Amino acid sequence: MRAYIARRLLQAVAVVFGVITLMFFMFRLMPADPTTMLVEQGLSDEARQALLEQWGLTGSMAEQYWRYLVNMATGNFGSSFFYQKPAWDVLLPMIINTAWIAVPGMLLGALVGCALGIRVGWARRGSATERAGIFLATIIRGVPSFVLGIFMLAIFSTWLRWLPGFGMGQLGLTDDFGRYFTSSFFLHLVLPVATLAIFFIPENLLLMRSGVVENRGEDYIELVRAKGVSESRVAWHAARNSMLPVITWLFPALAETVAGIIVIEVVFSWPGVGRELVLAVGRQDYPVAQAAFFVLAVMIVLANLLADLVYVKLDPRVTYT
Amino acid sequence: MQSREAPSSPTLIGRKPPVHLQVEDLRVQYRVAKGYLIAVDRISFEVSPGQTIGLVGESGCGKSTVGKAILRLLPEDAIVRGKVLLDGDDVLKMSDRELRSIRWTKLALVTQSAMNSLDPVYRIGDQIVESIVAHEDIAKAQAWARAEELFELVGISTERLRDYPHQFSGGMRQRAVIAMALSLNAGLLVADEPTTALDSIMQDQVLSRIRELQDAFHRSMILVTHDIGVVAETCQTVAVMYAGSIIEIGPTAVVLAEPFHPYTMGLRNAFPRIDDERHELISIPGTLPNLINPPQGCRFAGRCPFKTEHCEHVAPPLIQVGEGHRSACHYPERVVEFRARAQERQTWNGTQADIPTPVGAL
Amino acid sequence: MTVSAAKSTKAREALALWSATKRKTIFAPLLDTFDLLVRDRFALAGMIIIGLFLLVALFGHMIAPYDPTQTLRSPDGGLARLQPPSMRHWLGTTAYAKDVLSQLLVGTRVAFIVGISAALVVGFISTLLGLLSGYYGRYVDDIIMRFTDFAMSIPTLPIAIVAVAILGSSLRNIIIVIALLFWRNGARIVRSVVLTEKEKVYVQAARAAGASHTYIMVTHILPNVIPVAFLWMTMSTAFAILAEASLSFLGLGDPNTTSWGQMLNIAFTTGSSRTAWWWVIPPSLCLVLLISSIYVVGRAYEEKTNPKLRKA
Repeated sequence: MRAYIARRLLQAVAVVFGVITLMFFMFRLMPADPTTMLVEQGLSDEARQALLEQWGLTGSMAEQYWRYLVNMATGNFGSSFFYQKPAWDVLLPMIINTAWIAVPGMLLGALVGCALGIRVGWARRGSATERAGIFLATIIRGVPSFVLGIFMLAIFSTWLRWLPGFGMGQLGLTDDFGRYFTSSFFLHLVLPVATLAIFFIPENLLLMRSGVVENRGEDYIELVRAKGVSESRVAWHAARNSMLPVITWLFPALAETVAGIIVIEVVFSWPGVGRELVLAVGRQDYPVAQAAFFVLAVMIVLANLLADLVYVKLDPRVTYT
Repeated sequence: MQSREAPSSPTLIGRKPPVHLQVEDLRVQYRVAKGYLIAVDRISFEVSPGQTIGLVGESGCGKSTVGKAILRLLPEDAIVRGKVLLDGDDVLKMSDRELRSIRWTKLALVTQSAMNSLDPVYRIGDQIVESIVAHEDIAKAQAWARAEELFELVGISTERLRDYPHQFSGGMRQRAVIAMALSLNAGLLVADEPTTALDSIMQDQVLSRIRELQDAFHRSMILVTHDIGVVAETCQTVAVMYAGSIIEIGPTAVVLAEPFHPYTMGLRNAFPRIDDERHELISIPGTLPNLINPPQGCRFAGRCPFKTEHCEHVAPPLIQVGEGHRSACHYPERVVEFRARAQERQTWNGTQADIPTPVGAL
Repeated sequence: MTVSAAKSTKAREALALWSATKRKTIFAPLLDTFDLLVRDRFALAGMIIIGLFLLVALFGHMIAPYDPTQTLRSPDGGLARLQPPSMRHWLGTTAYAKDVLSQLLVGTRVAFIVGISAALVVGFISTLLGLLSGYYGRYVDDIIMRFTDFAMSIPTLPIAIVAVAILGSSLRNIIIVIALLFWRNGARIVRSVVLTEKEKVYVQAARAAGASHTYIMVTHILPNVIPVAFLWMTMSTAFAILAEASLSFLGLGDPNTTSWGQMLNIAFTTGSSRTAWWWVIPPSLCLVLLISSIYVVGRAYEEKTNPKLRKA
């Protein structure tokens, strides 16, 4: 077991390393010399050279790569061309902002999706519940996240005026951690989280449903029922056996949900890592873009790692290969 | 609100009285595209308290269906008619709540120990505890203690309670399933092919275990199997089923030594006997008749070497042929002749085509 | 074996290969399920919707009332901005005085171009890699799978954003980027089918009889891989349309083409998405309809090929 965990950790580190290297080459290919932005402001040649050095853009590829790796190891992502601050400083609060929608949104989506999936999966074949459940899930699955966002905005923010739809809270709030616990923040939080949850529900539902449908016919279900337990407990046995494929899917699915998160942040102008990536790429502010990409990539590697470890714990039949 | 039993101490196994089961006119049908498939056709039998009855027959004769019908475990589309009287209460007419309260407390199931008969993601101990806690108001620790007692009864080390089903061998799984069935001292056990998935050594162990338990606790038991040998070893009464009906029923020793129905005679032939070297194995050619549009007369007529015109048109009723012994054949008076001829191979060869064998020819 | 005997074996093999591709055997499983598909009401509805969209994609530009990129004027001489639906403009106009209906019709074509091209490329790469990896096993499998695993741990949209930013936002680049992202799962799926097929008795028998690897792959394994690959390609079509729409919405779409995502991007960034429902609803609806229809057809197809999910 320990050997397995160690090996998976090593794998994860190797992947992160690979991603870093990939990023290095990709971002070097970006068609922009960031100094041109500043040359217009009348920068002298020496100053320009000094800046280039500072941003690690001098020297051969190999030198740059080595410096880059060292920087990465020390958490130095360079200085943002746009914000004139270290990229990491720019991103750190944004990571928390993203987490505020990502975690509740996905959790809610997963729980509601699975619960509905069990209900639909246990329903009588061909019943209204089953057909409605599958139909709705399939339709919502086909709704792009930005369409969902735009509609949530239009309905709840513009038309009903129940909730705000822009940003993270009232402007002018303090910069510290306390701002996360104001009512204004929570009001702003509702729509993005709800949108993400709705976006995440259909796949959960369909996957849980198909697992329950498959397990319903198994022998042990008959024995459990014969024991005289309540019908919901019988359903729970089927659900518990279906959890394995759902969880196997769930964590890697977090990776794809990142796409949804990015878009939702843009739609609701939520100052998170995803939105910043899009903005930074547009501004050609590549330290920030690089850092944002890195954060997102690492999140996914962690998610996959977690998935493997959790799966091993959940399925007693799996041996640690 | 479920009716809960008063908390019982761990060693209450066997203190509850065995039940009396009366099955009357039980019918099970399924609606299929071409009509109705009759899986069980008007079966009646009785299980006295503490008695073990074997339901024996070939695949598809309906014996498993009877077992499941009694427990009400058939799929939703099964049409069940008749009465199943458990100490006088009709199981088929019970509400869901009443049914749940008698499940496992009065009626328990011993399934085949195939790999998937126990939930693979829960420990065996937890599954036994689940059956106890669903009906009794006791703490999990106490329920676990009872599970340990049960495992001791069936001869499995109590540490194994913490294991998962896939970690058990077939024989152990079967014994675990038996242990679980006893967890609430149910008065009636329905054992569905308890030894089929096992090799003969395991079979023997499990059967002797079952006999021991019966000797100690006297549960009423219905043992469904296709293996006459199993029945011979464990059941006082045997009911032989064919194509959804009971064609012979009586005390096991009598039915096997002196069968009245040609099918029973044929069944006897098909099973090896270790004590009789000269005995050849003779199988009954042919297959079950169409259960969707069953033939008018005796169901067995198509394969019976002794059939007559009369057999093909009129279904024989179950008639008394001895003390507690009934058989569904039109010709009980010719039984001695039948028995003699049934022991010869050529009797059975002629039944494949419906051509009567000319006397004297091979 | 004599040389001539060996040659005739080769010739026989080649002939069998050729006739296998000619005959419908490889595609037989597909045709079977097509028939089953038609009887499922949802799938039928899905296919009809896809068919209608396809017609629009092919002929839309001919029936579009205006040039989708042309700035239009209203009768009184001013720019026809943000006009609600009217007889002149059935779906109204955008903030830049362009006809919404025309844009919508032309956008259909873009959706199909992206969807189908990406799907074809994805199908090809997935099948090739999955086949090689699963069939040859050992080193080949190891290398390809490690590469695939690594590729899969790269987040899809972020890398698409960065890649499009680097390569430039043209339709061709977007298609390439999308295709380079969706082969990953497909290769895995194909590979697992190949692994199962490889163990089948008739494959072992063919090996024992001396059949070449290519022969076995094409005649025995490929027919069983095609349904699964086809399913993945169907789903990839939907994913591709979705990805292009997302990228366009984020502002990274091809500025020279009109796609539904592009329409929504402009609507959103001009702040009109809250009020100009005639501009927002049509492309949204089209996206949802087309993507859902593809999902439904794909799911129905999956149900047909996986009996456990079927209704009793």
